[in-house]
Formats: sequence, C-alpha cells, structure tokens
Amino acid sequence: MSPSNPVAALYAQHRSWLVNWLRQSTGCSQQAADFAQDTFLRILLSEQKRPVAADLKEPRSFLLTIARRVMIDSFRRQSVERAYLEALAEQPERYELSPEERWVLLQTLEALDRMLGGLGARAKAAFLLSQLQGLSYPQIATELGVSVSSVTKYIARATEHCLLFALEHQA
Amino acid sequence: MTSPRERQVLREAAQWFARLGANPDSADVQAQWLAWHQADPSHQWAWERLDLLHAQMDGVPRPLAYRVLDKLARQTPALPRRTLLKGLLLGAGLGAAGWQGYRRSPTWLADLHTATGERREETLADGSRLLLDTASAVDLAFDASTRLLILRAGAIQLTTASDPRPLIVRSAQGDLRALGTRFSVRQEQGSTRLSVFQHAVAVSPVHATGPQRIVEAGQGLTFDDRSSSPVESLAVDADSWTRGRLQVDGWRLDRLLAELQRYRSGYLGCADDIGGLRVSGSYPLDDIDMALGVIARALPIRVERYTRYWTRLVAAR
Repeated sequence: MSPSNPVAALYAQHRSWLVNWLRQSTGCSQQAADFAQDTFLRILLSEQKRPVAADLKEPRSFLLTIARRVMIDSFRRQSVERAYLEALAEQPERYELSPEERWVLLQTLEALDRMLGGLGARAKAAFLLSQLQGLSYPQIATELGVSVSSVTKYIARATEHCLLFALEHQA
Repeated sequence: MTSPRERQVLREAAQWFARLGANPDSADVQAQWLAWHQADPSHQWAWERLDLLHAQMDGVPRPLAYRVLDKLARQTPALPRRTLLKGLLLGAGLGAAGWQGYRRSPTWLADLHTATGERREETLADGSRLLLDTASAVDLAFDASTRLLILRAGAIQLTTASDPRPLIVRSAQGDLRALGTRFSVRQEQGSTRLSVFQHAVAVSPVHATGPQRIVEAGQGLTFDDRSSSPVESLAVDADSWTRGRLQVDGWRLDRLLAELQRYRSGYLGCADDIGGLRVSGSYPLDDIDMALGVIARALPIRVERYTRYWTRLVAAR
C-alpha cells in the first residue's frame, strides 16, 4: 500500500483511537481489535467501488459509522449462527456441508433475515410458509387463522418489501 | 435510490406474483399476467428482480432455512437491531454469495425459457433443434399423435427432425404447422411473426375462415387471430439473430432500438428528433452497449446513461 493511499493515511492516523473507542463499547480488547480490522477492510473494499476516503471532512465520525455497522453485522451474524445451530440440532435430516457451503448459507440466511426485518409478523410468516415450506395459500390461511385473500395480501406486501429492499441494498 | 416509477412496477410485480400464487391453475390469470409482462419493458425488469429474489432462495436447504428464519422472527429483537439498525445498513447485497438457483420465469411455468439477453439451443425429444431467443418461453406437449410447442413469449427458431407426428407451433394467435423445415416464430403483442428459411409452413389463425396459408422458404408474414398479412420476401439476414447478430439495412433508428431493447433489461430509447435517422449495419446482440457504441459512431448522436436500466440516445451537440 503506497503512503499516498487515503485508506492507509486513515489507518495510520486514527486506528489506535478507533480501537480505544471500540474497547470502551465492547469491553473486550480482542474484539475491539477485530472490529477495527474489519472496519478498515470494509472501507478498503468500498473504496474500490466508490472512493470517499480521500476527501473526508470528519474522518472520525466516518470511521464510527462504519465501525457501528461492523458491530451490528457481527451481532446479527451471531444471532443467525445461534439460530442455525439450534435448528441443526432439532433437524431430523443431516446436512453435509463443507465450510464454504456453510459460510455461504449463513451469509444468505443473514441477508434474508435482514430483508424480512421490517415486515409485520403475519406477512413474514405467510411469506416464509409459502416460499420455504411450499404451503399453498389455503394451507397458510389455516395455519395463520386468516382468509385466503388476506394471505394473498400478505404475500404481495412481503414480496414488494423484499423487492424494494433488494434493490436499495444491492451491492 | 429507487424512483417512484420503479417502486410502482415492483409493487405491480409483487401483486401479480401473489395473484398467480393464489390461482395456481388459472389459465386466465396467467394470460392476464402475460399481457402485463409484455406490456412494458419496465414490467419485465420488475419481474426479473423477482426472479433474482427467488433464485436466492432456490439455493438454500429450505426446511433448515425455514427453521432458522422462523426462530429469528420469534426472537425479541436485541437492542442494536432496533436502535442502531435503522438507516445504517450497509448494502451487503442479496445474492452476492452466488447461490445457483434455477430461474423460474419469464413465463413462470414454461418448460423452456431464456432470460433477457440470453439465447439457448435445445434438442427436443424427437431430435428437432429449438433455438430460444432473448426473454422467450416455450411449453412442450409431445404425445403419441402430435408434437406441439406452445410459444408463450419471445421468439424461437425450429429446425425440425423427421417424425411421423406433425409438428405444430401454437402462438397466442394461431397454429403453425411445419412441413419439414427450418423456420422462426415470434410472439408480438397481438400478433405473430413467421419467417420460413427452408421448405414451408402452414398458417392457421385461430378464428380464420378459409384455407390454410402456405408460406414458402424465403418468405414471411404476420398474422393476428383472424387474418394474415400478404406474404413478403425475407430480408437476406432475417435469421441473423440466430447467430447472435442483428443485421439491418436502412432501418429507422427507433425501430433498431426497439429491437435491441428485447435483448436487455430496462429502458432503451431515443429522442423523437433522431428516431427517423436511417441506420444500416450488423450489431452484436450479446453486447448491447457495444452495439450502441457502434451506432453512436456512425450517427451524429450521443448516448445518455443514468443507471444500468435507463439509456437514451440524443442528438449530439
């Protein structure tokens, strides 16, 4: 990395400050170091698409914004991973997944969970029952105790929500 | 950011999707959906977004994914989910991980179909070769007495194999019976276009009275559900699309763009004042941007791009 690289400059000037801030929020210096590393990695990657690091007015608040996202994503990943392990334990079938497949599956589950985040409980349930359990609308209606036309509305709403989410959050 | 127009068509696509799900066996609903899908390029764009969404789900082990997501849905959201998440999400992107799902559409239930910009050749059970053009869909209904292909959308070229059973292509407007032959059929809005390259094809519009029309090699015609246009001679390169190129001679620019539009998602058009310019040339169908570059070099125009989905040609100033 050349010294003129703006991310390198950011790293040199603010890394220890960021690690300190993260240590205070997480209470763990190992985790703080990891989060800081991930923060710079993420900036490095996004610079390739859209460079912003060169002309930051407030580099520290920029760093904090990215670091918060890194933390949130990490919490989310942990809860997805926990739910995954629980589900696997309860599951009668066995899945032979390679580490790579497992990683990709967790990434996808995380993305799906995030996408479904803003939906109401019933719309979310209807969507999952239809898309992942393969139930028909009448079956979903029975399951949720609502009419078939309500199920149709839930599915339309959930699908629209997911389409908008996917478009706005695409890489 | 999504525009109001994009939001509107995505909402429509979601409503169609739910409606199709609620009426899985209704040919009427499917026909209405098809009319919607073909009515505007933005509808096709929205439906592709829906395909992408489903492709993402197709790769996951569904029962397991269901349990995980259901568990997460039941959890009380942890503090950071509520307080910090809003507005801060970094677009990790759906589907970035590359699950290899199969595509469900364009026409949903079709046996064979291609995405916008895709062309694919298939060999059918009888040995006939079927080439599907961009955004096309075909259902196959072969039985002991007939080889029936139902063209749901787009265009196909067939090179038929010898077989005692008649081979019939059915479009929304009628039946085309192959008389040992190579020909192409294109479903357009309200009409069907036939081009015959070898031997002959017999045309029967659904509500036509009178004898079948026989179209010979080197000829083509357009028909609706009652009648057909006079037979015309085909341009020399009428089948150039089957080789991945579009060969045109003296076409209006707006016609050329409408044709290129079929091979790519989103809007592609031009300002009214240049639509009548005449163009001749051979354009690659697998690289529409390159095709536009070639056009822009030949004419006093330039290309305006706002997003990947919105391209317009205007007069150069």
